[in-house]
Amino acid sequence: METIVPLISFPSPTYGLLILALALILSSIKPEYKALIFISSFAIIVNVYSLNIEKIFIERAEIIKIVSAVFGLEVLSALLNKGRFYELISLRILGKLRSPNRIFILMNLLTALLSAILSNVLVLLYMVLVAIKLAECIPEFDPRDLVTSLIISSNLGSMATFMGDISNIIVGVNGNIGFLDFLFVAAPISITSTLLSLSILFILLRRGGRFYCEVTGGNEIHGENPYLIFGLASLILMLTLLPFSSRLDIDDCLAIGIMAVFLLFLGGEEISKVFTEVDWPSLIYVGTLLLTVESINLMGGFEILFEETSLFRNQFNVYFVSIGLSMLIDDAEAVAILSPVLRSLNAGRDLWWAAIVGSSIGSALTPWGSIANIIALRKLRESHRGISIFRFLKISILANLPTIILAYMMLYWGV
Amino acid sequence: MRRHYIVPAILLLLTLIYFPLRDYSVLEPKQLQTILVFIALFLMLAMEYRHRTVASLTSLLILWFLGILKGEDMIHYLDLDVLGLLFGMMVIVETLREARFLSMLVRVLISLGFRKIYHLTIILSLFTFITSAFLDNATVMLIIIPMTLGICETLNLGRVAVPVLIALSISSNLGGALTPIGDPPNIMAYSYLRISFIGFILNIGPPTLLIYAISLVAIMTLFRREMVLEIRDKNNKDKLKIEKNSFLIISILTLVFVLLLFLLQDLTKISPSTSALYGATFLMIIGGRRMAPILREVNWDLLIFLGSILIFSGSLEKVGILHLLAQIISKSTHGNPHILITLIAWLSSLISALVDNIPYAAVMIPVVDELVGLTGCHKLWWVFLLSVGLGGIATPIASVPSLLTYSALRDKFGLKFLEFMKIGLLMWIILTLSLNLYYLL
Repeated sequence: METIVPLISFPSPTYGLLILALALILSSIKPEYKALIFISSFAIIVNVYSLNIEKIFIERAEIIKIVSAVFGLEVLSALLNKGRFYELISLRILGKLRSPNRIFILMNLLTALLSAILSNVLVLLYMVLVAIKLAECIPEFDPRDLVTSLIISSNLGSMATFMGDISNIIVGVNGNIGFLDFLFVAAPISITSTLLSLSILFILLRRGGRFYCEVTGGNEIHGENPYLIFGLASLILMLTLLPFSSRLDIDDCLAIGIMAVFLLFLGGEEISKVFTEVDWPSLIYVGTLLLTVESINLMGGFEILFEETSLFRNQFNVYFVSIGLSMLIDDAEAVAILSPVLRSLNAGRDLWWAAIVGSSIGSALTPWGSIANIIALRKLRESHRGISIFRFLKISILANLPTIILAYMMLYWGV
Repeated sequence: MRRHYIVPAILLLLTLIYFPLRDYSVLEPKQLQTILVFIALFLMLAMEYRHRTVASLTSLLILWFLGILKGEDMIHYLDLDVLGLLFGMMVIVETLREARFLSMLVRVLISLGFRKIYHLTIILSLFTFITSAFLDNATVMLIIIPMTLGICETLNLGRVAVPVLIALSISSNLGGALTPIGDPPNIMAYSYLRISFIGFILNIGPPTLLIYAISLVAIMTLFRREMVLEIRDKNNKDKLKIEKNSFLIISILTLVFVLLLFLLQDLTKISPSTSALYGATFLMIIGGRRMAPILREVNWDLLIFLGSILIFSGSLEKVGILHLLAQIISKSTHGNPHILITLIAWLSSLISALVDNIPYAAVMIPVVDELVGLTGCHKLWWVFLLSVGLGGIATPIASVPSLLTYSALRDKFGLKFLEFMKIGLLMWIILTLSLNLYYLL
């Protein structure tokens, strides 16, 4: 395999690492500018090291696969969003349930389930809107604890499938883990962790009493809504066909992207226009994040960093490093950094599982652990019911500490 | 609604005729398959059967399934220079728009005070021509159309706005042809030719300026009654209220810097795409919170569409169809440069009038290159690029400036499609003929 040789030997790869560190700090402080930050970082790195982008793409085909899968999922989310799927589901919950405890359990389970197959950002956003609507409807209802629990459930639920989160896709591609393999190993850990944390959250946050919230709408789910019907059909089709992609010798990630294009094409003229509603900056963010990391890796940046250490040869260490990183920065960024390191060590699957489980739990621990957390909490703050960092950390640490231990035990004995 | 039945029927027909064609055609199966997919794509784009990017991506996937394209080919044919240049310029233009650069310029123009309609038309048209040469045509027209309508309304000009706006639409189309960054086909050719920025303008500039002057004269003649009307309202100097805006100054300086880098390309050896990306990156770092919405406003759809079309064009080149096409054109014209110039001028402008000029340009650039190689007639490049630009004025749907102008005139004055097309076709014939004669004489 041809390696990328820079045109000039100066500057050293350390500069690349510094640029990456700066980008990660900036992206944690200003998550809304993630795409901007990583486009700029990548542009600077390419210019500093005079890199050939075409060669990076050829050498690191994984980047295209990951972006293809994220594109497919974004199309699916855009379709369901346009079909008001999340809104209709939320209205139905509000209209049917009376007990706060039932609402708490159902919303958490639904959030975890939907996060396993759809974009966490959209799922959490709509669930937070339901919580806010409940608070508007019933003055004595405080949505802050519910939102905190929803964030935890969403992050733990997203661990279950290959398409549950961008970080899963990055690990799946780099660790060569297919859709079914992912499902068989990660789903039991995800389900157990979600149920355990939910039980703790329920004990901590349960409420008594009964109430009724008057809502209108929600019946369009059976009516004329081509986007919704097509979006749901596409989701079912994707979930049905993905397990067979490896048998057809098609990469899972490429299969998601290809299916999305064909679905848009077959859906008709109006459905095909959903293409313009895809969240392109998110896609650009993922692409430039991976390009930045891989460029630094190709320059030998990570070798300098981990030359003398055997830290990453041990599942326990990888698991806790992954948790720690995901607590500090976005989980996608955490696994994007870990991936080249694990790849260079020819890591076995046990280490890859440790990375993915660790990153999912880590992202549930802090308010800034993932972009979905940040957006959900901002929405809550906009409704003048912001939650303090201390309160969030208190609930999340209490709910997740047993989960961290249980998940590690499952990893240690199960994989 | 007819296209919903016609297009699938034709697609089915194309699939079915492959089998007899495979047995009787002199073409290889892969060449035949690529041609059929290409026809299907062109048909879908011409009839707007699906969103254009979805249609082009689907066609690429079909080529991939057929084994004609491989993953490495896609990366190879994806001309990152073209995409980088376009993306960089999009960011700069969007930033300028956000900083109200064009509005400021129009305000300055209004403050000049006009006595007759033709003064107004010439000034606004020159403004549109020059700005379209450096900025995205759609952005320019989106600013200039409401401004012009506003001026005409303030001055009580009524339907006189129709010829003024038509002149602006033509100016925008021609302005886009003036520089390497004016229009996507120019960007593609610029990247392909590896010529200097000034070299490009020196070649295409004189005929473009001449054709532009002819277009103004033609409009003045066609609408001579309206053009000599007096403008009575002189109270328009108060429009000059330019607010202080440091972001605007930074954006303008960035554009000037990038243009300077383009001009000094031979000296600095910095490629146009790198120059544009320098400017864009600088603005992204400096612009701060303003840049996040700007990044969202970037025409990602166009970038992906252009990328997919470039790959498609690469696949046509890979299977040898473009070489075949160049051979056929060269043989049928006996390599005669005069016939070739005439053929390219009329064919290119006609096709660009009917379908999107981006896929046409992507396919034809390698063909024109080969024809230039076979005949040694370098003029073909400039004939081709200008005629692609001219095609945009023929019909209301031939280009973005025409479409935007037609939509505004229809909404405001009830102008009919055929009324617009009558003027457009007449101007198209006059200007293509002028282009043809310029290169023949």
